[in-house]
Amino acid sequence: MKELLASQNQNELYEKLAALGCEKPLQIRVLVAGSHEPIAELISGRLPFPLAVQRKADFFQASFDYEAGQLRLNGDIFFCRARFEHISYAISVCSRTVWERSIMRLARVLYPALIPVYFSQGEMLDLLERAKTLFPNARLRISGHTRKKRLKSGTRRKYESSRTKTERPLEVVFKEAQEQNFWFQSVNFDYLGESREVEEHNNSLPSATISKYGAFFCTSDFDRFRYSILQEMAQIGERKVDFFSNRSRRFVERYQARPISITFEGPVFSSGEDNKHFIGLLRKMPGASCSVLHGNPYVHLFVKDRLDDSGAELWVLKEDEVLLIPQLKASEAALKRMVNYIFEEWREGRIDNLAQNDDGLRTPVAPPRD
Amino acid sequence: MTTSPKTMMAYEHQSLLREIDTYKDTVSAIVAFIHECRWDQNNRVVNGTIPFGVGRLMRNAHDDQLTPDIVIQRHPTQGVVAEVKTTFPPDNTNNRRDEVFQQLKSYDVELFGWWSLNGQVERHDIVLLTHDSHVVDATDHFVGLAGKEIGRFERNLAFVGFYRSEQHHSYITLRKHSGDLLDHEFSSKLRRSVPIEARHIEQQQKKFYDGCPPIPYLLSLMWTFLFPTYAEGQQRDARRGFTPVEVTSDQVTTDLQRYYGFEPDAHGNRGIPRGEWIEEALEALVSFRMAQRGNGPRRFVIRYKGLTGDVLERFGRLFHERREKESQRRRAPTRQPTLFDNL
Repeated sequence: MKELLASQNQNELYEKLAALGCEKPLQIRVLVAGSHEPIAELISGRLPFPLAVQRKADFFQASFDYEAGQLRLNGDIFFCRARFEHISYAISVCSRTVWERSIMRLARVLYPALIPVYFSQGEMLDLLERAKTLFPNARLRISGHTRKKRLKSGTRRKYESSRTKTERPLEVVFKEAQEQNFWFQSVNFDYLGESREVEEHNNSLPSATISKYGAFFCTSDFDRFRYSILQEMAQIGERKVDFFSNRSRRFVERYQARPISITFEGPVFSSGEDNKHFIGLLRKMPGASCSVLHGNPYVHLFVKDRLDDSGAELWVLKEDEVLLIPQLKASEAALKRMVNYIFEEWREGRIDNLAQNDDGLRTPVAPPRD
Repeated sequence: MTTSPKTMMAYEHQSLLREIDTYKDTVSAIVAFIHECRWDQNNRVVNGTIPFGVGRLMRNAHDDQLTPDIVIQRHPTQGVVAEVKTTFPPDNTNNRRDEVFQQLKSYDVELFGWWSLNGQVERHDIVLLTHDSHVVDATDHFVGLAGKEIGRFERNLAFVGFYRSEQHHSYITLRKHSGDLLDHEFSSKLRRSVPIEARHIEQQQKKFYDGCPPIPYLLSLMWTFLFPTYAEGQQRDARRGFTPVEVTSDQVTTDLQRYYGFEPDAHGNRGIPRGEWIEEALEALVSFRMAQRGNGPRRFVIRYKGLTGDVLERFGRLFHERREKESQRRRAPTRQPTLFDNL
């Protein structure tokens, strides 16, 4: 770790990370997040714990060491810019406890200036497909996953969640999850040599984790992951920041709405019960308030993110579509959070950017991949 | 003497929602009608050069002010004025139905205030826009007025119904039930009915017409979407748990007109929503202790904070309680307190 701290620039840091192999419980942990300013500049004034920030040539390094109850939490975070304008990496070599208790806590405090990146299940599968090709003489094996399933209303528990160890192929795991209506929060994978010889030769093949919330962990081979998985994660993140940006009606020409359409495969609002269930979910959205103006046969809600006061109107005017109309204050972070909440709690759909033509009809343009 | 809360009428949220539905449907019908009047069928675009006004001030030859709900000039020499009565009175008690036709009759004269050099057009049509379930009643009543002064129109009078239909998509449909219009092609199109996808209308983000909206609805819109923009960058009063935000009713009115209504202009459009509705809403906030009066007329300090739960229901309940208290105060006999009242 001392070697990492001695890095003077981002390339040097990456080289040292590339040479690093971690033993349990340590891993190289990266959070991919969006922001309009460098993360280190967001930190001033809103720290959940003492943090000493040091500027290096082209990145920032922050150290912390504090007591939290019975625990002493310490570590270092490196804030690096990805190759995309609005995306940064927060990198740390640490245990899961330090990651969850310190670094993720810091990320939550920085919301909405720090824009979380959420991956759809399709994007997670694509990332894992990409991971398959990273080590030519080895095969990728899913070693475990954390997945969730929303339980029907009326039961005491909101979710059925499971943390499972497995050794099954990637496609099988995803197909099964889809059939059972589960979605993955994170997927752990490792690499196995195709033959005993290869395995012996590559006795240090890495294990890694991809999370739906923009985190990536690995035990070694950081460089290979950086040029493939992390870069793809950053690219998806950038595309989403772009997609959700500049939707506040105050700053759009003639104050026009820039609605987001979420379409689902097939009719998912075909009865009053569907609408009621959907409204019930929106009413329970954490950190948000929801006013119901109409519930059936169409749905009309005012939704507000209470964390940053962003607001949107939500309409269901078609059996297979939710229309989100961002209002006067509408941050990227809040809109992403609303869409992600609908994806997690209702079901995943496809997001489209709907442009308003002069004829008053809307034409889908440049939908982001999801 | 205190009033027992038991005598208060219970709050019925569904009744507020119905009231809001009617208001919103009226706005949707107006937006749909304007859209159709400006639609260029040949080029399949909205003709942005066709001027229109909502609640526009017009005048007759005696210089009396008239404010039809919609005024549209589809042609340099021809126009349309429309009055919207989402609910046509169910009967003629107190001449309520006749009053609708009296109002329409007042437009059956040469009107001034059009978008022309002398403010006039050669001809204009008159339209009654009402919910489709009421349009037959309106037409029948008009037929029954034959021979009476308010049943005699020099200009075209058309009855157009509107309704919201839900199948796989939500539509607002306009359908001319009777009467004619100067533009026969347009008249014929309306007769065959014109369905417009509701999402196209809702994306216009028009929330008001020339009628005061239910105040809790107005407050929800202001509190949820407008006030957060005012609170940006303002210091939160941590001890009192809110952000004090100084506003004037003029500022709130201007912003609501800009984002959710119709802006005033130099050509006779007065702007919707009206300042007096906004002032009434802000006064309601003062009575809820969610705002206080500021220094000067029409100045207020909003005690802004994020609200949990259903904001519309909260305002609905508060507004109902306020109205109940006021009506109880009015009902309570006024009596000089005596020395023995407190014994």
